[in-house]
Amino acid sequence: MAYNRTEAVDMRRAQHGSAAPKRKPQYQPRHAAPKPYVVEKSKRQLRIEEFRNSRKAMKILAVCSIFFFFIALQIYSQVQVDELDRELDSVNAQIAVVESENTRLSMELDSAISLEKVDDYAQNVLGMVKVENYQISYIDISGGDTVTQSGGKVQKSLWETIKMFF
Amino acid sequence: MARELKSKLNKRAFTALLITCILGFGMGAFGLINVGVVNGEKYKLKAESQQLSDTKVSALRGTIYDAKMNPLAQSADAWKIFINPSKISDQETMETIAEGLSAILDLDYETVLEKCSRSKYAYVLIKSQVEYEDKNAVIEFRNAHKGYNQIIGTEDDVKRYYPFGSFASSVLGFTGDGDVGRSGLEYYYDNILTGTAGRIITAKNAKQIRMSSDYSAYYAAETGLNLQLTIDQVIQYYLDTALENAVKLNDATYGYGIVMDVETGAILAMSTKPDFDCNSPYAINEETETKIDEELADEEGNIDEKAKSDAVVAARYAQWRNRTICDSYEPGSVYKCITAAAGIEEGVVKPEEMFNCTGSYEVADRTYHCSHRAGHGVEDFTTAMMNSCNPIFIQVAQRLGKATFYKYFEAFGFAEGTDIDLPAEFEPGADVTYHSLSRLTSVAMASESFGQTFQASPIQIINAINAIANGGKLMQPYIVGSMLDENGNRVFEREPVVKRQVISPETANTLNMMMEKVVSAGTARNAYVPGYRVAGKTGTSQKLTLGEEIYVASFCGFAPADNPRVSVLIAIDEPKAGAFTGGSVAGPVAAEVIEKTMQYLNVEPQYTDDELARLEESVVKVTGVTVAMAQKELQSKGFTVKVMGTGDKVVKQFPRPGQTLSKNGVVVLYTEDMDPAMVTVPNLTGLSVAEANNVAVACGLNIRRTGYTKGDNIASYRQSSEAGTDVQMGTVVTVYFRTEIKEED
Repeated sequence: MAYNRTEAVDMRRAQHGSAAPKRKPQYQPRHAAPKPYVVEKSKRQLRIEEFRNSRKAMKILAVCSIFFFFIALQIYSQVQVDELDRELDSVNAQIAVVESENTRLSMELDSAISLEKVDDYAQNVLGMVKVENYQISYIDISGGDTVTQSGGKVQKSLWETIKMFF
Repeated sequence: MARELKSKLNKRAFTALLITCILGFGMGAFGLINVGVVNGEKYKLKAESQQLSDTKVSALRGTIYDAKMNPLAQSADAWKIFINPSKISDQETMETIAEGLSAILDLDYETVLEKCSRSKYAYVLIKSQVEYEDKNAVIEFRNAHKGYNQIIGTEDDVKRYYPFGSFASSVLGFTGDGDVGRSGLEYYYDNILTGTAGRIITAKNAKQIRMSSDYSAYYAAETGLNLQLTIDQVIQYYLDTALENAVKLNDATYGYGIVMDVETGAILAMSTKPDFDCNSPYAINEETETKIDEELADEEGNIDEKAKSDAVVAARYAQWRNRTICDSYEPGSVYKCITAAAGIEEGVVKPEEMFNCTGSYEVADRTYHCSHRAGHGVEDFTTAMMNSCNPIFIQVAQRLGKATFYKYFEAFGFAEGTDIDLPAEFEPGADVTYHSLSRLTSVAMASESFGQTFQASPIQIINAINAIANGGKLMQPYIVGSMLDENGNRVFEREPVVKRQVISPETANTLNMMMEKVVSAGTARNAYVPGYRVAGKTGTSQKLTLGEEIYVASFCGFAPADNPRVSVLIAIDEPKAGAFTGGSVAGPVAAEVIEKTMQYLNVEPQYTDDELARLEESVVKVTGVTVAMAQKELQSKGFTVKVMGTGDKVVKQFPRPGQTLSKNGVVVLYTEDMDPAMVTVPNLTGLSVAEANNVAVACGLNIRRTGYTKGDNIASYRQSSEAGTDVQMGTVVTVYFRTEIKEED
């Protein structure tokens, strides 16, 4: 029930100053509503409208389908990413294991060919002896490399030629 | 009336609503303030731990390489095996687990069973540093039994590998739990080697599963730097082998040695024997354990477990100790080189100046004796050094005076550490390990002039002698030459540091010549190496103990004397096999190390005429010729010929052409394609050169003599092939000789 302030004042006055029977306040619209104009649609128009409605529904369905498709795609890609992440973790772990195995085996190999063992095997199994000083040839390279180049023919004087002859 | 009632009801409803709102929002606001402000940090951490997965990425410890980039220590991933005994419900499970784990991990069954019985614990470590194959075997064992997943677990660990075991172990040290350096270089350079751990922070979903890499941040681990040492694997091997043999031969407690690059002060080799295997540093060798048992056993043979445990701990600390750095001893006569250097530098004495050694010399109320009690008579200063004549050096010190004498003591680095990059270096203490100038009495100076009444570490001594070898420059010794990052880039390169010029190059040259004579004809003759001019000085110092006389025999020198390349110090601690002087005990070891090192460094031997005359004869090629011709050819060179087979022509000969043999050496000629003839190596020790040669030839073997072989009183003390082993006829056995004159030095 909506009353404005003026009507409320009037109502109070009516309660205290008059014995007239109470009347229900009547609703009075400010403007009279125009009478509706009704046009009947033809069957063709109805069919067109129906078609339009169904097309609209199809569009909504298509949009929804695309929306759900993308969501599904997103979920699928997420699953794929998770799967690849797990695979990556697993491969990284395998690499770490292989690297540590590589180190271990390298160390084992180094240990197997230590100077002590090589020395022992060479002397006691193969009967080899240590290199002696006489077996080493030392080359003096302190002077650096030298190249002897043949020079051009020098024209000798007649006197030099005669001297050479003797 | 009804309207009034309605109004009242409205008011009450409104009030109730208001109160509810105030209470509700108030509590909400309170909760927000509590979570956001008062306990904000706490909830932040909780949220992070719930929403984020924080994984630590361990940084791999850097590798240690030798000078030629051979790896000496390298880390790799490993695993820890642990159990949760609180989940073990019955005895049968306990026994099965103990049996399985002890078999796979090579552990004692009873020990594992005892660990399984600790039912109050949720985590008990069974074994750390388990390798991949063993870890997989444990997992297979776990998977094969229902419910063991709750009991047996694995976690990441790191293992440090030392491929050469005990190689330079006192230098390298070892790592403990978590790959943390505990001793040696591993300890000294721990921060450099360790690197910085990295992290992977990833968001977790509602099911606590890590989300994709889009939601993660990766902070890469920084691998520790790699160290490239100045230690050369080959020279270290020579030193290790020579020291190990010397300790056995002389029944010594310890043997230690250093090989240093003369020009730079870089350490080429450093060894203490006996040592330990870096891969199992807590294990003590059987010999030590037997010795402990013998010492602790009472009359009935019972051993107190607590006492044994203490003794084992002490033995461990003893074997980890790098005695070339941490220990000190009186250098003895080696210090005479420093006294001589000071005297010559200050001009108070000349090498050719004549002295008279009467066998003793009095200082204040003390009489000092020469090692040769009868006295050496009139001799020049060089000869006094060759004879290691104490009275002459006391006189030189007196000429210098206390202040000057002390100045050179300090200048040569005997009053300070060398600052080598190794832990626990011996730090000299004034008036504790040496006499400060204010307390240096004339008697103390007299004793110090020939290396007594003060202590010095082996590294100090070799560093001082090295200053004489390199023209007077006192270097700062170092062992790490460079540091490399994980990609091999050199991020640090050590530059040699000259601490100070202590003597002039001229004085150093004079000393070189004098020290060379000490080796060629003086007390250090056993350090003589034909072809290489070795210079050096021996020292014998008595250790102060009650009851028995024990010594440290040492030699310190360098080679070649005319152009020094390496300095060498050898000290044999407490030799108990008879000989105890530096010349007879440490000299031959130094000769062996110097000879091999010079060959390895491609230093061409320069033989004197005398040495050339002693060189052995070379075997000529006789294969393909008739036996008669071959015999004639070889016999003309003085060789003994043994013919194997019945053929006419020589098809094979041993030793091969080019090999040098001593006169009347054996050459075996094979006239048929047959297996080589074998002979048993005889004992060739304790013999003169001729005797050893004759015994060897009689057995069909040859000898190669090394060490000091000039003059009388020469005897062999070691042979390369052990007596009793079978070798091919004609094999050359290297026999080591030394002079048997027991001169005190």
